[in-house]
Order: sequence, then C-alpha cells, then structure tokens
Amino acid sequence: MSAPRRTRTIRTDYLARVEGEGAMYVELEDGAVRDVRLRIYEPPRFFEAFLRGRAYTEVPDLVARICGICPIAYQMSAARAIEDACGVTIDDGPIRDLRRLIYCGEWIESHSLHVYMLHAPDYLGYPGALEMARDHPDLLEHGLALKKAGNALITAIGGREVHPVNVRVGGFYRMPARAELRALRDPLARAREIALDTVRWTSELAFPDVELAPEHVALRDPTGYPIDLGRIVSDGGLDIGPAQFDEHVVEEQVEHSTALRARLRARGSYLTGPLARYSLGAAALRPLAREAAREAGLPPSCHNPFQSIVVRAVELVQATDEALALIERYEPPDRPAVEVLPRRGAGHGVTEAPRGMLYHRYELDDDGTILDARIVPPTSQNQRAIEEDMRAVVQRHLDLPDDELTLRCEQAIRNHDPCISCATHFLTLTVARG
Amino acid sequence: MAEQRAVVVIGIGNELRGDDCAGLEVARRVRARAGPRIDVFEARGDQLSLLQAWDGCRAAVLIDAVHSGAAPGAVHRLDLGGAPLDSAISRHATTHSVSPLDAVELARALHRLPPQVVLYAIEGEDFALGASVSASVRCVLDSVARAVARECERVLAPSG
Repeated sequence: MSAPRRTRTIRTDYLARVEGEGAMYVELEDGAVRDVRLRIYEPPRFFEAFLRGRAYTEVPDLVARICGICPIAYQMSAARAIEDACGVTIDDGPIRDLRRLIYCGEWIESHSLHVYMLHAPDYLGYPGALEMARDHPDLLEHGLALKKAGNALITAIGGREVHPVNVRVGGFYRMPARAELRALRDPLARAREIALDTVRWTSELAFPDVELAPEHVALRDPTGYPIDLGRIVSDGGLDIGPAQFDEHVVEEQVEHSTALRARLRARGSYLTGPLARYSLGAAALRPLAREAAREAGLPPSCHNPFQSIVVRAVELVQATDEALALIERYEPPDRPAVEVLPRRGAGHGVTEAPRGMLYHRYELDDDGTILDARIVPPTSQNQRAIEEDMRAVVQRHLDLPDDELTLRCEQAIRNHDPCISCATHFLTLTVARG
Repeated sequence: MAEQRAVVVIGIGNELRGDDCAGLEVARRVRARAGPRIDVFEARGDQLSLLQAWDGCRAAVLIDAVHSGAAPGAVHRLDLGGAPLDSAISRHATTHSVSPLDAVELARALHRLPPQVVLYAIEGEDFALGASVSASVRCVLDSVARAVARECERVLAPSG
C-alpha cells in the first residue's frame, strides 16, 4: 500500500507592495512543487474593446487612464502606433526630445517609488516603507525628493502629474516655454546626486546568488538608451521591428488570471524591463550612468532579479542626467505638433515603460476611426517568467516554514515590479503543501 | 519666504468607482462654499502627493470613503494628529501601493505631518466600477462639507 500523499498549500490572498490587486498560490506535493500561480484577479477592463469606434485623436487621453504610474508610456506607445498607421515618423527634433523628457519624468517617478517604497524594505528587513521610515528617515526623504523631481517634470510638460493631458498624436498641444523647463534644473541636479547615491547604497545590499533563464527582450535605439523607440532585440538573437511583434509574441488566456500571458512563439517565456534593457543596452547608457554601473560592480549582462534594484538606480541616474541634457538644449519649435492625417491601415508602437516594453497596435478606418486595438503591457509579457522564478524560489527553499517561504515568494514577485492594474484585461499568495 | 498656509482640505477618492468619490465631492463643496480662503486639493491617485499637499500647513482635513461595516452614509471623525494609528487600521487593503493612512504615518515618521490632522471617513455602499454615488452617501455630502468648513474656520480664527 502506498503512503498517503502529503500536500502543502501556501496562499497569499492580497499581495502587498505591488501595483494593483493580485494573489499568489503555491501547491507542494511530496516535497515537490506541483503548481505555482500568480493570480491576477483585478477585474478585466476591456480597454481594447471600448477604443473601437473612437477617433484616432482621442486614444492618447483614453489609454493614459490604464495606469496611474505609467500613463506617459501608454500615451507614447499609442501616439507612435497611430502615427505609424498614418505614415508619420517623429524620430528626432524638439518634439521627440520633449517626448523623451516627459518619459524621463515617468521613469524617475516610477523607479523612485519602487526602489524606496516597495523594494528596499525587503533588503533592510522591514515589512514596509512606513516601518523603514522610522529607522531610516533619510532614505525615505531621498526617495520622496527623487519622486518629486519626476512629478515636477511631468507636470511641467504634461499639464498635471497624474494622467497628463498635453500629449497628442503628432506631438503636444502646447510646448512649454524654455524658462518653465529651466526652472526644473536645480531639483533635477539634486535628484541626479541622490540617484548616484542610490546606486552606491543599493550596490552594497546582500544579493542571493540567483540567475534567471528567460530570454531578455528590450528595445534597441541606435541613438541612445532605449526609451521611446527602437527595434525589438533579445539575447537569444531576436531582432525585429515593432510591426513584427504580433508574429513573434503569442498571448494566452489562463484560468487563474484576468491578464493574458505572453510568450515568444516557439521559444517560451521572456523577460522585459530594467534587467533586459540594461543587459542589452548598457553600452548606450550615458557616461555618468555607465560609470555608476561600473563602480557598483554590475556585470555587463545582469540576470539576477534581486539586482534589479541596482539597475533601477542606474536608470535613475540615466533619466535625471538625460533630462538635464534635454532641458539644456531645449528650444520650443514653431508648432507643438506635426499634422497627422488619418488613413486606412494598421500601425505599431513600442516604447519602454519603466517596467518594460509596452506594445500598441491600432487599425484605423479612412476617417481615423479605431477599428481594432491591441495593447500588450510589460506585466503580461513577464507573467510567465515571474511564475517560473517563483517556482525556482519554492524549489530552493522547500524546507522553510510557510511564513518564510511566503515572504521569499513575495520578494521574488516584487523584484519584477509587476503592475497588475496595467495587465488586467490581471495579485494575493497561496502555498499548498503535503 | 513663502507664506505659511493655515489649512488644506484634501478630498481623496476615485470618481469612477461609485461611493469612493465621496471625498472628492465633499472637497468640491467646500471649495464652492469657501472660495480661495481655503486650499482644496483633490487626491485622485498617488497618495504620496498628500505629503506635498499639506507641506507647511498647520492643519489638514482629509475626507475619504471607507468600508468598515457600519451603515452606509455613517460618518466617522478621526483625529490623526495625535498618536500613531493602530497598524490594523493603517494596513487596510488598497488598490494603490501607498494608502492615505500609510501616507499619514509616513509623514509622522518623517516629522512632516501638520500638528492638526482630522479625517472625515464616509461609509460607502457601492464601490463598483462606473457606479454612481449611492443615495445614502449622497445625502450626507452637504453636512460633511459644512462640518469640514467649520473645522477650517476654527483653524483660521484669530485665536486658532
């Protein structure tokens, strides 16, 4: 007679320190991992469906509502996709500069929030930022100062810090005056110093020796570190234009998630975001950020998800330094936008949201009415890789009691900075053991 | 040197989720009633913005919707300026990474909390996406706005 099977279940019904509402479920049987699920239960939001029938000019303001943390990313990918459909390219000049500048603001805002409020407590042994603030108020003050600098940039260009209203297809509704941007130089210079300090202290944290297998995928921009445009490349040899995204990325529905899970056709899971951007594009960093990465001891290609906190800090240096350079050379153009006339056809846009690549595809009618929309956010692309990472974490730490194993899994998830609100079309943790 | 502001009224909420917009609705009523005499701030997303909103103020009055199990439309007045909140209250579920009460406690730890902070918490009923404000909440908005205005007047009074 065989011995009864022993199962052990670990579940967290509401994941803390991530954006949006999700859960985690881990089931162990006879000491082996049977099932790992990152459950995304936040209700689906049907953005792609209700964009149909709207005017092409309305899209940037509508998609900005998908995320309160990265609305610029949604606006930029949408604008690029629609411009692509209409045969317009904005690859240089002051409008592109201003797009990169407002996008730098979003990177600063999002990365400072994640590094200081969501991620640092995992390394310093606190349940949250609040408890950390009582012992390390200086760290929190630094995080808030960085975030404030990012907010100010977005407000100056976007009109307000949450869901900005100044981005349009073809450019902007209004270009800021030179003096408005120059007023941001002092706080940004201060933010750059804090960012350099952030690289130093994060590089001294203790990192478990972990390497993730998934292919790294990011944009490659011949003119600099990827933010607003580029080809899609990977460390597995992928090199495609945005228009080929649909051919190479498959999205699947799974029962436990209101997000679609993406994979590379015939290749499997992949990882997009800071680790991938840095690993594929470190050479394109600005000299100050490249030197900060070198001093921090980051390898040229980084596959340890725990070190993503250092990479985000390096990207904070990159974003603050680039923002200062863009402000220095800024001259408002005669017109805030180029004319984009509608035409029948499809267009594709991919940009680098703070959390990774964000793909938009729109099909337009002759008069610019949206006939079809497809939006693939970074968290949908990373969900499989996150679940694989969790599975490896559980397998490595099977002997830990439930509460410690739960914490390890939550940390593994937070390493990837998932944005569940964005991914729902998609967090809580359950571990079942036996 | 910038003039120190006396009091700010902060409405917190999401106007796309039914009764969750109660705080915003009250803040707008206070603005309409008091005009420029009282700073009114609407916190519709990032709750860390609260630290900037009350920066330099002697007092802040917050209005937010809650779901504690009390009857819909019930109004709770909580003094947040004194002792730290019980962690069971401040760690409530939120769709945002930082809740308003976490922002209060963070500010307290950083010595960035105004000396007087009062929260008017309105018990909500329906927080569904796209829902309108429920009748039980709608009928208390004016009276909460009047109570908030009285709090502000006490701060603005010469002896305040």
